Amino acid sequence: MRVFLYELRKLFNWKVLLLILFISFLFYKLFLSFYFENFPNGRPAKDEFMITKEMINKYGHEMDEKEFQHFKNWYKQKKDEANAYLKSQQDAEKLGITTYEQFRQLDLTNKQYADFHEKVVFVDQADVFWELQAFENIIEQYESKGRDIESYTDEDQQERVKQIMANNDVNSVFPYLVYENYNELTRFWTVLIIISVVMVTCRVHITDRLNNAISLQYTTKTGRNLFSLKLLAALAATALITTVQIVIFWFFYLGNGTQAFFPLSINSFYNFYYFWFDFTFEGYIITTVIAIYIVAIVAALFSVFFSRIAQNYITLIGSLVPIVVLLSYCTLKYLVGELFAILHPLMLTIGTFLVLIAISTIFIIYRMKQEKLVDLI
Amino acid sequence: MLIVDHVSKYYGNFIALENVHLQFDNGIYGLLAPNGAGKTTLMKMLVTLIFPTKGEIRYNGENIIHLGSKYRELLGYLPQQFGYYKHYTPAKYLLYLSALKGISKHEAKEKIPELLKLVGLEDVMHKKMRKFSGGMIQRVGIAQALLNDPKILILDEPTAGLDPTERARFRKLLTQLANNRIIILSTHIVSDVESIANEIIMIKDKTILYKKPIRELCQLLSGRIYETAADFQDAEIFRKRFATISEKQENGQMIFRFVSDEQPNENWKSVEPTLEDVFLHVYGEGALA
Ligand SMILES: Nc1ncnc2c1ncn2[C@@H]1O[C@H](COP(=O)(O)OP(=O)(O)O)[C@@H](O)[C@H]1O
Ligand SMILES: [Mg+2]
Repeated sequence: MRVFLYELRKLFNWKVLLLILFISFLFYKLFLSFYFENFPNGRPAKDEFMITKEMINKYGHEMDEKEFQHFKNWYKQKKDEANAYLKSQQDAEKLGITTYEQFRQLDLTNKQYADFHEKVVFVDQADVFWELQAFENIIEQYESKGRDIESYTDEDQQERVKQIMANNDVNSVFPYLVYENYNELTRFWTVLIIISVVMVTCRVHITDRLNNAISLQYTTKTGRNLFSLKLLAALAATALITTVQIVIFWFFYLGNGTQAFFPLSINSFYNFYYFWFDFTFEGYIITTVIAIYIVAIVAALFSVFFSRIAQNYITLIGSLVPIVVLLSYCTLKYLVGELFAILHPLMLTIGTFLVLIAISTIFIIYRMKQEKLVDLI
Repeated sequence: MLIVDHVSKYYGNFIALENVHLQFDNGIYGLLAPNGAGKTTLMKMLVTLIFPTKGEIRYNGENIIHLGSKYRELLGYLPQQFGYYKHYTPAKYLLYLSALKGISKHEAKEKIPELLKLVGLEDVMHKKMRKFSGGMIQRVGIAQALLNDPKILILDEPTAGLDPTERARFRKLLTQLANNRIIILSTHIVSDVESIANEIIMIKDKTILYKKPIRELCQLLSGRIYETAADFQDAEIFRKRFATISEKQENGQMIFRFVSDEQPNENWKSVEPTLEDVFLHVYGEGALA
């Protein structure tokens, strides 16, 4: 136990921690801050966000056909508001625009019309016009739900879409923008976690080799069991770093105010795509968190293995960079980002996880066996 | 009792040691051989860092590899290249190593200041090792080897980097420790072991040439060592004719020491052989083997 604690403490070198802090800051600036500072991103996204929240209050988690009729009435009221607004505008009268329908179908290649449209929507920022766009988007999506089945070529995918259509979940009012925002944040944050974990754990053996400490350590009572203890220390460090990073993430993410959507199904008519499993948003979040821990542990296992094998930092970095790149690529594509979306064959996602876990574990077990057998020269 | 039983070690195709047979009881053993003879190789096998290609090493009748941690628990080892963390203090490093050695924190905290005092590092025990001299580092190494009060103490060139006073102090320390443990130290410097070793082990041509007390080793050459003075101009001729084993300057003359089976000249005086004579004779260039 004491050895484990010593090894754990040795991993948290303040220089490395400073470097991680710096890289985290860069990541935040480059990839992450945008999704915190600009959520929902512009209009009508902001209006869609507000309206869907309102829908939850009105209709609950799902909107059935009857509620949809109510929603369309609500849309009509908004249209009346818009008409009233247009009537109050002198410019509108001059141009002969009296109703929202006219306004909507304006020929924007005509300079006069374009200028008026611009004034109403962007300069005056008349809310109702943005809201109407949001309403229209929602209505359109609701009415066309399930039609995108055509875009899936795979039988399994089509089967899954049919399954979801048959299910009330598809009426969930969960909006794509909440998903997109979480997806972008979490996949980039995971890359940051991979980098942090590798930076901390890759030192676990190599510092001892470079300091010639191995022959001392391996001739003590602990001896060749040190590898296992160091492995545990590296895994503990991984858990710690990943947890701290996730906690920090949530500190920022809660500011986006998406809590109302947590219990909603993400297989909604209003999301970008469907998923292989019946996730609520909170269920999905938990699943991504598990995926993040798996990816972090796989990264740590590779890192520990190469730390033991590599003769110097050059070979260590040389072997870990391709692994980090590959792992980050898969993370961004489908291991954490778009996790279990039906865009990616289910077997590809599960298979990749299994292969990654298997290879990294085999590497470690192989080395564990070697540790007992090899000359330590 | 530690027995090296017909052990050979190959590094790939390279034979480092062949058919080494040795027995160790409590006492000090000086492993005396030039660089590259295989001292480190033998010691690394004794501390289980590397495995014999042939043969086995037994402690009290059991193979040390099978004994595993029960054997390593009894070991104190100073590697030829003592590794340490520059940003650690000796006290902190020894505390870390005592965890590895399975010594309780409480016990370690008592033991560490004593040991560091023993090697004369009490003043710097809380200073980072970054700025330590080679001799100071080596003394940290000696202290750590003693942490677990080892039954088997293996020191690979422990005097490297020590100055003459430190060497003398170190020899004294070893004799104090010697009565209830096996101490094996390697060196290529005769004076390190001359006065303290119970037995000298010499490795030549990849195997053990001698394992004898110093007195017996010297007897091998008794009556065959001569000493004489010669002028500088005659030195070259002298070297050609006799198997000189050492030469030094004294009062503007050369003093030669050499091996000869019969007295070459009545005036040349026969002297008592020293361990150095044996060493130089055994390993010297063109020596009579
Ligand atoms: N890991 C190794 N691989 C190959 N040859 C080695 C290795 N270690 C030592 N040797 C060779 O074995 C011989 C004995 O080396 P060593 O045991 O270090 O001698 P010593 O300690 O007496 O100087 C030398 O010729 C050395 O080059
Ligand atoms: Mg050596």
